[in-house]
Parts: sequence; structure tokens; C-alpha cells
Amino acid sequence: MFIDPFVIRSINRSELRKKILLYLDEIYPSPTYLSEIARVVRSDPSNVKGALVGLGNRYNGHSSLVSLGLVEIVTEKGFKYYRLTEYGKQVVKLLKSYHSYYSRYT
Amino acid sequence: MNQLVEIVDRNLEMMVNLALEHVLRFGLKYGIFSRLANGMSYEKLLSAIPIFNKGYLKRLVDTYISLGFVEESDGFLSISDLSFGLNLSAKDLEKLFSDWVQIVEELYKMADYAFISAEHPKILMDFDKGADFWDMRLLMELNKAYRQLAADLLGLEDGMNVLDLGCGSVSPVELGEAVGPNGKYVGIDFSPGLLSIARTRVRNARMDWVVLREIDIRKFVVKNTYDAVVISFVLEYLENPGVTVKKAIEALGPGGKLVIVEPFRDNYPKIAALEFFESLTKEFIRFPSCKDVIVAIEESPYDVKVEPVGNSALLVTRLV
Repeated sequence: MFIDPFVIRSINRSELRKKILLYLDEIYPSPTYLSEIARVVRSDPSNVKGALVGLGNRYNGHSSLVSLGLVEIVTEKGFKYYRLTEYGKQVVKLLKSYHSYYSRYT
Repeated sequence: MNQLVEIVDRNLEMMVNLALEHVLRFGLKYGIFSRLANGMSYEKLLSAIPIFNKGYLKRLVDTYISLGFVEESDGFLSISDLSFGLNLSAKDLEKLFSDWVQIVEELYKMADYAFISAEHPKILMDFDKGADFWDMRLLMELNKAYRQLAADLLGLEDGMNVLDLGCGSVSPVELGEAVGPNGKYVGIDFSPGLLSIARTRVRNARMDWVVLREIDIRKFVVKNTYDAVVISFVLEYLENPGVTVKKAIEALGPGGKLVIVEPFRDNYPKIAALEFFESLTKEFIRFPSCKDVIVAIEESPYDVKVEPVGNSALLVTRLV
């Protein structure tokens, strides 16, 4: 599947979205729940929810991790869990490769 | 013949064909063909077409002329009947990769942005500012196939010393793996952006036998000799590719091999269509012809054997 470099660049500029992806990559293929992600990335659950699925004007449908196809929602026994998609896994791999390049050249 | 030769050739042919289909699409989209149906002066056409970047529009019209779709006579342009078709056997289709199609579609979009402005931020063809996009191109299956073909032709194995001219961001790990851990891979590239990505990968793979140097190959000076030298998709950025080819031969030890991988223009008659998109990279000049490269090889003072491999590769062996 095509990976848009502008999407990777945009995620690279957003520390919260980047941290969430790196954590979900670390535990892949396991899903986890919102408050656990918030605890690990040291952020507020509402901010994390915004990064994952969008919240008001922040991380709207164009840039939330779920709408970008990088994270999927798994519903089990009425609880929502979040898991990196296979596509998201590929994006994280590139994001890691480009870390040094982005910090120096863009 | 190595099956990779067929695979590389068929994919490059298809890439050229899709580029051709797309340059024709531009002619319809921007009203170029309809205006030329009754003939028009070159100058008048350039001012009549609502494209801001006249330089790139001129390149498009020149591409049509080069492809034989448009004729120019004393500054007057005319068009004859257009015909375009694809003829692919099932045997050819099974050799085609899919991932490069998504990448070249991005090139088509970038060309649209280039019609607005040559400096449009959506154009990612600069080796440094768009090193991430270039890296994605270099990661394509087609690129993996030609690197594997190069490794096969050179007989790369553990313990060999290899020099890669214009190495980019992926080759250092792939070809480096073929000669490690007892050999040495030296990659040269002029783009610090691509080298930065390459260094991250080499570091993560703990390949301490891979050495990367930021050098413009036009200024490259031969100091050491190698068992193998690789030049892949590089000559199109050089004003005088023969000079680099001769230096590559000079860098070979006796019995050493050089592989050159390029869509040689004399083997791909419609290559001008692909060149229209590749010219979004400011350093791009033109794909070399196999004939010219062989002439340069034969001008080298060393005793060499040259073998064309399919339509897109040349294998050069230094005999003594």
C-alpha cells in the first residue's frame, strides 16, 4: 500500500502521535486500552483519544491515527482497544529509518 | 539468462508505457492536442495553454515532439493521428511488480504541481528535501530486483570489496549484506539526506564493514581498487557519463567486474515519456544510450570485456 511521505512527515512533527505509534509498535500485535497508552506516553487520556480518533478541531478526520489507517479499534466485551495495523507497522518502520534525516534535513 | 533480467526489463518497459499514457493524458487535460489539431505556432501554444510553469510546459511539448506525436517545422507545430496501445502477454504480466505503480502515480501528481510552480512543496524529487520519497522509490521491488541482479552478475560474496557509485539509501544494507562480514562495501553519494537514512539502517544492522562517503561522483578520485563496482540509475544525472564509467573501470582490480544498470535509451524507444517525469529532479539530464556507454568503456586504457545483459544492464570485466 502506498505510504504518503507527507503523512510520515506530519506524524514526525507531532510528538504525541509519534509516541503512541512507537508504543503500539512495541507491543504489536497486542492491542491496548486508552488509559494504558496515556500512562505510557505520559499524556492526558483526552489528548490521546484526540490523537487516536480525533476530537473536535484537534486531530480531525484527516490526521487522527485511526482515520489514517495506522491504528485500528478492536472492540471486545464492550471495551475498546487500540492496535497498530499492518500498514501502521510499515509506517513506523519508515518513521524510525527517517528519524535522523527529519531531525537534520526537514 | 538470469530471470531477474527479464523481470527488470519488463517492469521498466511497463513503467515507460505508463509514463507514455500519462503524458498523452496531459495533452488532453490541458487542451494541448485540441489546440494543435489545426496547427499552431510553438510560441502561441505556450501562451495559450493555462499552465503557469512555461518551462515545464515546453518540456512537455518537446517530449511530444521527441516521441513523434507532434511535428515541429520552423516554429510551427502540428499533430497527426494519435495511437496508443498496450500489448502484454500473460507471461509478461506475471513478471510485473505492483508497488512501483503507486510510486509513479505520485510522480504524475507531482508533474501537475510542477505545472503550477517548479518550486511547489508537493514536489519531492530533490535528493535531499525529498530523501524520504526517494527512499520509498529505492525500496520498491523493482529496485530490489535490479540490485539482486547486480549482485548476481558481480558474484558478490562474503569477503569481497565493492564500490557503489551513487549508492542511495537502500543499497548499502542490501549489497553490504552480500559481502559482509569479512568484505568491505564503500558507498558514495552526494546527497546527505539519503546518506543519513542509509547510515541509520547500517547502524541498526550493525554492519561495520559498510563505509558511506558524501562525495559527488563527478569529483570522485580513484584511490583504491575493488573486486566489484556498481553503477545503478546514476548516469542519467551526469553531463558526461563516460568519465564516471572510465573511473569505475580504473577502480577495478584485475579480474574485477563492473555492472551498470540503466534503462538504456536505445533499448527503450519511448523513454522520453519517463524522462519528462524524472526531469522533476533538477540534476536529471537524460538516460544514457547503451551504445555511448560501450564507446566510453572501449576508450578506457584497460583491457576489458563488455557483455550487454538484457536491455538494462552491462557487465564489464577487467581482464588484466
